[in-house]
Order: sequence, then structure tokens, then C-alpha cells
Amino acid sequence: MTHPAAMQADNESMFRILHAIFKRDLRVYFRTRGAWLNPLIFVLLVITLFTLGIGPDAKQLASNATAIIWVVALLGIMLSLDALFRSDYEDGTLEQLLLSPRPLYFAIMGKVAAHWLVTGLPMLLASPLFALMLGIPISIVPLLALGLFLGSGILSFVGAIGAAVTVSLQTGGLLIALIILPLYVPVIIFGAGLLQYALEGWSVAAPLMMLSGLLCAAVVLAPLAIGAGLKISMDS
Amino acid sequence: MEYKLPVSSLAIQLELNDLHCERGERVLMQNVNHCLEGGQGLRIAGANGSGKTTLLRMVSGLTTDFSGDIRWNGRSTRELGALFRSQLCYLGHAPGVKAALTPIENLQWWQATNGSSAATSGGVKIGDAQQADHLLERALATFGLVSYSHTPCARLSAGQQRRVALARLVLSQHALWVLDEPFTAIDQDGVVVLEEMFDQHLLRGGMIVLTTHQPLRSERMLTLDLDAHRAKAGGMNGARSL
Amino acid sequence: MANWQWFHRLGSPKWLLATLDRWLPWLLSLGLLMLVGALAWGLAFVPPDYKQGNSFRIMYIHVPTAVVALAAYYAMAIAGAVAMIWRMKVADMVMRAIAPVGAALTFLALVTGAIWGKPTWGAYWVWQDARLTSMLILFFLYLGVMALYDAYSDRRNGNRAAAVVALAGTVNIPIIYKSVDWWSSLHQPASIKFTEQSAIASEMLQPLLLAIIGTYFVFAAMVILQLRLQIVLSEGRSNWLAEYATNKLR
Repeated sequence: MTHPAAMQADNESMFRILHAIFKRDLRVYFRTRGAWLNPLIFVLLVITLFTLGIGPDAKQLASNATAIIWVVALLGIMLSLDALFRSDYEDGTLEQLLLSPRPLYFAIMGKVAAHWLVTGLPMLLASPLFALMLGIPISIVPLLALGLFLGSGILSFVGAIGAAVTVSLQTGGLLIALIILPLYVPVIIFGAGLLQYALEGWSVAAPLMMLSGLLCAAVVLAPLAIGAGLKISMDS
Repeated sequence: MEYKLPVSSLAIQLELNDLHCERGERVLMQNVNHCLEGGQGLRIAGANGSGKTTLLRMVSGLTTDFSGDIRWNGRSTRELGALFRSQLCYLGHAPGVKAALTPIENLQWWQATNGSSAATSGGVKIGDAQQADHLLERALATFGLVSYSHTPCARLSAGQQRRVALARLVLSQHALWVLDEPFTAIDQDGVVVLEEMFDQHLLRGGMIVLTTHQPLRSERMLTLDLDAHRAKAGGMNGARSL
Repeated sequence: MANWQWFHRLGSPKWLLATLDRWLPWLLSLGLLMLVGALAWGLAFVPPDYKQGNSFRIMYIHVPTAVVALAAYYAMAIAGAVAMIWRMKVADMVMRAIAPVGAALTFLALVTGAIWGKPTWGAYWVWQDARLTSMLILFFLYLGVMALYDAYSDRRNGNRAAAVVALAGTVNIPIIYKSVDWWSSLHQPASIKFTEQSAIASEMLQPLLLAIIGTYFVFAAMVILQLRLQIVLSEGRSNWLAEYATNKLR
């Protein structure tokens, strides 16, 4: 079915397109001030709100800390996803991407990976700050950071499915939440579970392996659904 | 100095067979048939809302909700997939230019994602960095963008952004150009440059399908009038009145 | 050569509508008959449970609705996949027809589960009950898919987008169920196993199986009702539909 020359070109072209899109999106993120900072500020802001709601009692805060961190990080990433394909859709670069002869799968991988880097990395770097605010012991911070980094990858890849199928709709934000939040259940269970296990002093191997496994599955499978979603969004 | 080889040494052919497209309750077009050979251009004419853009999107493969088939060298474009897309350069309503990036960066990513790869460009090794830079410079120069090549596109005018999009045609090794209103926001000088490029592309054996309200001087441009393909009241597939 | 005629016929809304019209009364009456029989059997003739007394009898509604609600999500996703792979118009409609019925069943399973929870757990909603929690997430999955249909003005694209989300949900459901299981330490183990000795008495089980089969039939009938609506909505302009309707009314 496929021409042999094209098959040969595929090997080279899939990394070429992944690299090109990854580089392009990182450039755009760093030139759009706030694009990578806003989710982080959002997370800090909502943690502050939670604290104001729960009260200053350190014990009570610490007992809710795992849930607060994960719910807030999840919301921050989800809200940032609305913009993932929207600007590409509006300025016409998404059309160009879909019409590229090179595999869309890898273009999407480059795109979501760039998003993961600019939202997941700041979360990882700011995790000591989250721990301080919520009274989580410093010894657990490396695990918190690792968990957030793995988790944000899953959230980016799975959430991008919602972004892809809603990009052509006016009612983006809330609809993404309705579609995607149920799919985020395992991430929050294992993410918060990881912290709880660590706080109790149990072995964290199980939740850590689950998060890593889920990340692998999301990275491999989600681009298929994202690609299908983008094609549908463009088909009007 | 000519940088481009003929787009194809073989004859190319684009067939539109019995295209029929409905939108909502309305038949947008029906019985659209046309056959285009290499070296020919096709201008899609018609009133506003007659489906010109839709037809271009059908040809490019972005829109799939229609019946009938579109064939490239005798094979369905849907089946050809990436092989067909490697022959296609599409310019839509939106220029496809990232506002945060400079013209040169925009052309670079496009070259990497949509441009021909060394394996398929027929002799010219675009992978060669020097050659690629040379080509980029030429593209920018052709559309008078050299002095803006390091300015973010957000700070360029609408016309200049369109020029960045059109500069891709200079890089393009694609046989088929599908252009939706390429003259929008382009000044008189730009129109002359673009028409010159069309002529050259057709002379090299390429193919152009476009929509425009600009009168075109090339004799190689045929016209397909969509107004003639609208649903007639009471027609075979016409809307049933209740 | 395999006979693929039935498969191609499935693609024709005209043939389908006529067939559905023939099947609907049979499915519906057979399903209702089985349900009424199973409920009468389960409510009146099965002896009370030595631990739960009579309250366990709500199982005869709760378990069938829960089982079919989950199966319906998979049926929806499979229809979505068929629609995407073979570009089959009818599969789109089937998917769209299943969603509200499946969501309603899930809701029913949630309500009966909560009612059952009161005498068993002492509260209507206990988060430790992993299966009920998973059921709640399944309900949200259905609502997400339905919200996506409605957001699209173009029916075809709305259906296709919903199919993508339903497929993503299908991959996720086992993970969700397992993770919720992991999360909740306190839950009853699944008690119906066909391979081993059943954990519940066979005299309790027989009417339950009948109720499950009956629910499948009623579910199919409800989907057919929805499907007829979908066919009429998307084929509303075509000539065959008008002919079909006038023939029917005559």
C-alpha cells in the first residue's frame, strides 16, 4: 500500500517533525510571557485559598495536603490545556500540521511534550514551596516532585484528548473539564496515594510504578486519540 | 538563477469525480466533475457561500464529509494519504503563521514539517544546510521580507503576515498548490510577484487550484463555476419541502 | 467468500429502520416479561438472606442495571470504533442512541445502590464502597460524552468526537476500576463467579441471572427507540423516509 521510498523516509521524518514542533512550541512558550508561569501562579493561589478556607491549624492542613496539592495541580494543568491547540487552530498552523506528509502522531508527541515541559517542570521546581505552605515534611519533597512530574505528564497527554475534541467549539474550558476529569481519577488516586504512603513511611514502589506505567501508556496511546480528535475538529 | 527543477517529470493529474456535498439541510454542491492536468491551473469561482473554500478543503483532505471521489494520478487521495500530502501545498484563510515567531523561524518550521524531505525532492538535497539557508533567503527576498526577517510576526501587518505565508511557495517543491484567496491583503507589487510565481509553477508542469476575485492574466487558468452546481429546486437530491 | 451482505445492509438506514420496527415489540415484551418474572421470583419466592434479611432483594434491580450500564459503555465505544474505522453512518447513530440509555441505567444503579447502602452500611453513601464509587465515575463519563454531542452543531462531527472520547474512556475504565479498588480498602469482593462455586446461594442467583438477561432485552428495546429517533433526525429529508412513514400510517 505505502510506497517503499516513503516508508524509508518515515524513519527520518518522524523525528524531524517531532523535533521541529517541540522546538517551535518551546520558542512560542518562552516568548509568550506568562504562558509557562500562569499554571504555577494558579496553583499557588488556590493553595492559599484552601489554607484560608481550612484554617491556619498546621495539623489539619497537613492531613489534607496530599489531596489539595494534587487536585490543584490537576486543575492548573487542565486549564492550561485549553490553549494547547486553540492558537494553532486559530492561526492556521494546525491545518498545516494535519496536511504534513510526516506522521501526525509524532507532531502531537512533540507538541504535548513541550506543554509537559513548561507546566510539569515549574511544578517540580516549586514543589518545595508547596510543601512549605502545607506543612509537608521536607524529607518527602523529592517524592512529591517526582510524583508531580510523572503525574503532570499523564495529565498533559490525557488532557490533550479533551483539548483536541473541543478546539473548534466556543465553549472550550468547562467542556474539557467534563470530558477529562473522570479520566484523571487514577492519577489523583495514585498521586495522592504516593504521598500518603510516603507520609506513613510505607514502601512507595506500588504507586510510583503505577504512575510510571500510566505515563508510558498515556504517551503511547493518547497521541492516537488526539490525532483523531484534531482531524474531526478540522473537518467542518 | 533557477533553483527549482521541474516539479515532476511524469504527467500529473487531479480528477474530481461526482462530488456532492451537503451542509445541514442544504445541498452545497452536486455533480462537480473536473479533470486537471499538470501545467494547468483551476480557479474555483462562485458567489459567497457557494462552497469554494469547502471544495478546496475537500481537495486537500481536511474535509471528509462529501460523496464522490478525488483522484491523484488515478488513485484516491484518501488512500494515498501521506503520499498525496507530500505533493500538496495548502494555504487557507488563516495564514498559518505563528505570531510569536519571526518570518524566518516560521519558514523554518514549515520547511521541517511540510517541506519536501531530501528523499523525495528529486535530486535537490534540501537537507544540505547551506542550500536550505540560501532558499530561505530567496523566499524572504521574493516577498520583500528581508528587513523584517527577525521581527516577530505579531508586529507585522496583516499583509506582511500573508506574505510570510506566501513565501512558502518559493520553498515548495510540491506539485499541487491549493490556495484559498491568496491575494487577500496583498498589495499591487505582491500581486505581480505572485502571478509570476503561478506562471513559473505552471510552466514547470505544476498544478494550481485556487479561489480569488482577482482577474488572472495566465491563459493556463481554467475556471470551475460552483454556481452552476448548486442544487436546483425540485432536483434529484434537492431539499424536500414539507 | 464470506457473506458480507448483512454487514452492508446494516449500513442502510432504510433497511435498518424496517428491521428495528419489526424487532422492537418482541424485544420489549420479552424483556419486560422476563423482568416481571424475575422480580416476582426474587421478591416473593426467594428466602430472606440470613445476614441482610429482606433488604438484599434490591439486588434484583441494582445488579442488572449496574452490569448493563457498564456493558453499554463498551457497546457505545465499540459502535464508535466501527463508525470511525468503516465510516458507517449507522454506527454513529447507534453510539448516540446508547449514551442516554446507558446514563439512565447508571443513574438507576447509583440510586438503588444508595438505597441498599442505608440498611447495609448505615448510610446512603459510603465512599468505601469501591464499586459504587466507580459507578459514579462511569456516570460522569457518560455525561461527558453526552455533553460533547450537544456542544457540536454538526451532528456527524459531534458523533465522531464523542466516539474518540468514549474510546479513551474504554481504555481508562479498567484502570479506574482497579485504582478505585486499590484506593478503598473496605469493599465486598465480587460475589458472582461462573467458574468457581458461587458465593451466593444458587436459589438467589437464578432470578438474578434472569433479571440481567431481561434488563439486556429492555436495554436493547430502549436503544432501538432512541435509534429510530436518530435515524429520523438524520435522514429527515430523504424520500424513502416519507414513503416509509406514509406506508406505515396507511
